[in-house]
Amino acid sequence: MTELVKIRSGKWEMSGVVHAPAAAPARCVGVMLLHENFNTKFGTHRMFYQVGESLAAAGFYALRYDNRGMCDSPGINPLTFQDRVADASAAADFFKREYRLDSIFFWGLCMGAAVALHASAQPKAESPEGIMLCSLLADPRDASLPQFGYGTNPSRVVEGMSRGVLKKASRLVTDATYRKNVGRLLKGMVTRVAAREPELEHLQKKIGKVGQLLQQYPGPIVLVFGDKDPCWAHFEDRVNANDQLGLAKMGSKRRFVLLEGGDHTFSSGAQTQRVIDWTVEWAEALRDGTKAQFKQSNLGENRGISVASTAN
Amino acid sequence: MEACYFGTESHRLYGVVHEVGDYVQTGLVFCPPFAEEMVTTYARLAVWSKQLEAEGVPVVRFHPFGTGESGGSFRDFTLASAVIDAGSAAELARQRLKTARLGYFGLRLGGTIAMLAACRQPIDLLVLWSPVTNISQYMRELFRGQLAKEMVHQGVTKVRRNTQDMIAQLESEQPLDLMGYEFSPQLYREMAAAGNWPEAPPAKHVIWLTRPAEEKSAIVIVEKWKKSGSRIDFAVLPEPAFWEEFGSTFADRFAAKTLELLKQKASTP
Repeated sequence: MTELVKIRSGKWEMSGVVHAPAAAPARCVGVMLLHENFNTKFGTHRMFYQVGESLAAAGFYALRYDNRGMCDSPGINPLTFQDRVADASAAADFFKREYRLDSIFFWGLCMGAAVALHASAQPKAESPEGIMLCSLLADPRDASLPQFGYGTNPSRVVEGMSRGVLKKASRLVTDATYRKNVGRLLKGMVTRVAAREPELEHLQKKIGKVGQLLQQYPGPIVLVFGDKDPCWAHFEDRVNANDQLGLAKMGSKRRFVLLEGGDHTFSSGAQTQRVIDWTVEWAEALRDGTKAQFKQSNLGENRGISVASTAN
Repeated sequence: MEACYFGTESHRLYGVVHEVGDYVQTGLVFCPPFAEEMVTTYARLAVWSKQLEAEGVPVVRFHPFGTGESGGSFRDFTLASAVIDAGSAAELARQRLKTARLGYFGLRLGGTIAMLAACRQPIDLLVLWSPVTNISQYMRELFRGQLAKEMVHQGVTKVRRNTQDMIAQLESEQPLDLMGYEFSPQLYREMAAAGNWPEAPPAKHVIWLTRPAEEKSAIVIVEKWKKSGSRIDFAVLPEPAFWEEFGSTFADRFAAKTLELLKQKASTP
């Protein structure tokens, strides 16, 4: 069962969906799902919707939402990484409070995974008891990929139909609606100039801190990668070459699970199902204080490779 | 704007209503493109609907059954159900938007669904952006896209199948995994059997914007439609295939031209 919710994040309102279990669970645990780049809350090939449904069927609450000024949330906003982190913290507070959760876990894909880590380190924010990070964006160089929309000025999206200063000026004269909205447009431009830091550079700095946050977060983290995902290769070669982050020494608090043949978004039915199975297993183990095995449940073959245990 | 569920308990649909408050000339029901194209364009079409709202054009966006936030799973998605769902969204728009006339807007296969929905139940306006005019050819492109994805993103180094194998699988009543979407045999049958576009336009006013690459196939239909007496605004504009990937690029020329034509109509007595 899903229900639509409205979440306040500062002066913004965000549109969200909560998947609720059919019967009230003995222990109320919620999983907040954080999506990637400029995507909407149901996710690529509807993955987030499916993850939410499966978690609810296993007795968890799951929350997905659109960031401030994005998709089905009101307003228009050239979303920054800081906005995403602030939204995640606000959403976690809302989720815990409104659903009277005993515990909250974070689950993120790609940039959403990076946001999950940053949000977990925010002072005064709701801290998760565990995090699952899928296809983690941890290499700052990957942040310039066009799908993140920061390679060029993201304000182009906001400007939308308008082109060029002359055209804007002419519309100011001829178009009353445009004049009505000019205040917002100017405010956005001034804010960006005042920030004095191009968003891409800012984003790269934040992504550059992901490795450090992986070390610092006190709770358990499970990292899931597809072995064909470039982010996995970059993580191994650049972010954690020779285990420079020391994650292998953290024992069961840092576990890696690889999906054989898996791509960045797990874009086949079989891959998606595998990640969903692992997600539910992870959440159940975390809730019940047991250790997830990440076995392949459908075909009975274990294709989940714990990198740490292999190294051992 | 407000997100809501509508439809029935067993066929729950999700929609977003962008109201403008006052009584206005024209409102639009957005029909999303197919599968991953719906995802890649979602944020950008949402921005455009907000901009239209600010310009005084109210909008209802909806997710066909089996997609997005609506109920069902993707295997439930068929052309027939998407067309009926577009009609339900139009009904929602009639209840919620105060407009003199209502139209469908559709991008790619959404444009085709918009056209089919207008054929099923008359509507005042059709706004089509690069609609798919040959559905069976489009389906084959999707199949080829799946094979390319397996090679590029999933590192498949040996060709294991071709599009004929995929068709054979569907014809033997087995669903096909298309980039994570469960493509049903029923959808295959519908797409394979999809006929030509109608000889006459299914709306009194059609705004058809297309890219040079699609002009040839579009013009054949548009020329016939122009003889019907309906108003057909047709333009070929150099836009990127922005639905192919995530990013910030949008069809700015399509958007500006559409708004210009909507406003023209609104100011016409």
